[in-house]
Amino acid sequence: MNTFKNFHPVTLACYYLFMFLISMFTFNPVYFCSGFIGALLFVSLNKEGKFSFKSMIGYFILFVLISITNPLFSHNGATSLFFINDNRITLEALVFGMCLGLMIIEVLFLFKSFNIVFSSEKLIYLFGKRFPKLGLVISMSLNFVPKFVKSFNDVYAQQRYFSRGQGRVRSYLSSFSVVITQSLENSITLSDSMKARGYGLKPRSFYNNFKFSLYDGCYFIIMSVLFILSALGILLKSTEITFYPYICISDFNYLAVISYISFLILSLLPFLFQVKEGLKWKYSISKI
Amino acid sequence: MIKPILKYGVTFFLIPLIVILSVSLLGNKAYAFVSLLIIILSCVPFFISLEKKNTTTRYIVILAVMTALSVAGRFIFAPLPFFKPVTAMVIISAMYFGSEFGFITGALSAVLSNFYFGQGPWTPFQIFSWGIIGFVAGLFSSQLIRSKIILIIYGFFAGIAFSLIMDVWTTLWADGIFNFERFIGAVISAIPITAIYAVSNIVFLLILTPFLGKKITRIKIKYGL
Repeated sequence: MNTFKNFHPVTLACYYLFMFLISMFTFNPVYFCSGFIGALLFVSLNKEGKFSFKSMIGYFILFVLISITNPLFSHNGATSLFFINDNRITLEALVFGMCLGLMIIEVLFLFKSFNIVFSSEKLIYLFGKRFPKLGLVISMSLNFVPKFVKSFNDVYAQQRYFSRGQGRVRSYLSSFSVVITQSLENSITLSDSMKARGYGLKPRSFYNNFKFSLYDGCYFIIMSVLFILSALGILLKSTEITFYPYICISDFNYLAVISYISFLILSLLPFLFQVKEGLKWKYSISKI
Repeated sequence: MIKPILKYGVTFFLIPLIVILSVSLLGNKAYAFVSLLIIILSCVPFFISLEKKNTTTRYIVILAVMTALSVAGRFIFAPLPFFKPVTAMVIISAMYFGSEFGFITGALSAVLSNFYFGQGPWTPFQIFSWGIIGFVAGLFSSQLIRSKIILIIYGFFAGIAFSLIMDVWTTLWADGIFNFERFIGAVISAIPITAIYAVSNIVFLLILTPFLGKKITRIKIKYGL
């Protein structure tokens, strides 16, 4: 089954770049809401997202916390609601705080969906050409980490067995030191072997399995159009909201509606694509 | 030719440009995102200088091993909250291999460990703080190797610095602007965590430095790194 993850890394990177740019250059709850809903639906569709209603409660608490604390620290705004210890609590600051909370949760969920989509290979593919040494270091370290953790677990099991009187922390530390020694020694052998096989010669490339297909191109164009439409509303200030001293929403205009809708589609794109592909898959099975 | 332009262009051109653009275009709304961008950009010169430098294969592999060790340390000590050897490993690698090595070890440790623990808007701040801790440790490497007291003091302040930089992150993202009252609040509420950071740094530095230093010096002499 084809998923959103299988797009070319450049297409995916552009998608997240567009999403982050819009979230960055605007302070409008409509954008935040649609971005949040899109990312939430996509995360809940994927098993790797570890989505649960319990975690949603945590995010809700974060949202409430930020909304409540903003008026406590910021006393701008014209409409006072009440006073706490001579500190004015204003409606504007409360609404501003709610928008901020929405923004943070939207960004956190965008990162969640980013984590699902962007494996380390994709990042290495993106940066490996420009930074070949860095790419090599990252891919090697990613290879080492599970190995080290495994060898630590082996050593630790042994340590616990042979020296039962030792404290837990102490055997942890001594096992860690064993792993360090081992890996430092092995690294020299490894680097010599790499050198013997011709590392550092000029025509050297990374293995990758990514091809920029027509499909990627189509989606890239769709994304760009949606991005430009939603950015237009921001640049021409038709979706602007000012909070201080009064909450002031710009008058109803068609450009704002167009940019809201196009951003909603842009943020729902991964979800819609996944659902479309899922339905296709289901349908093709039932035909067999 | 492109690389030196990139190297200095980032520091002298791109960062001021971003600050000016953000102030003129966004007003004071996007401190959080702007700080994130600036922090990412400030790390670029280090990565470029790694690419530019004539490095041996051994240097690259040791860099990968030290990074992987500090990431694995974050895994191995996962049962103990906040008690992590990452900072200590970064400091040690900077002490024995120089400040650039330390910066890259710290920065990559943050990126790689967040592949497992989850990337977020905090990743650039972690990259920056661990990188800078490594970089400064490399500058004072000879003093840190010679004297245990300086090492303890440095570990202590590295823990506090890390916590403070992460509090800046909390403040920026919770307020949208840098609110000093909120910052003080965040610092006070994070005091126990800061204390654990500082203590764990000292503990790991005291335990790991003697034998790790010995091993690294031996490898350096034996293989001529």
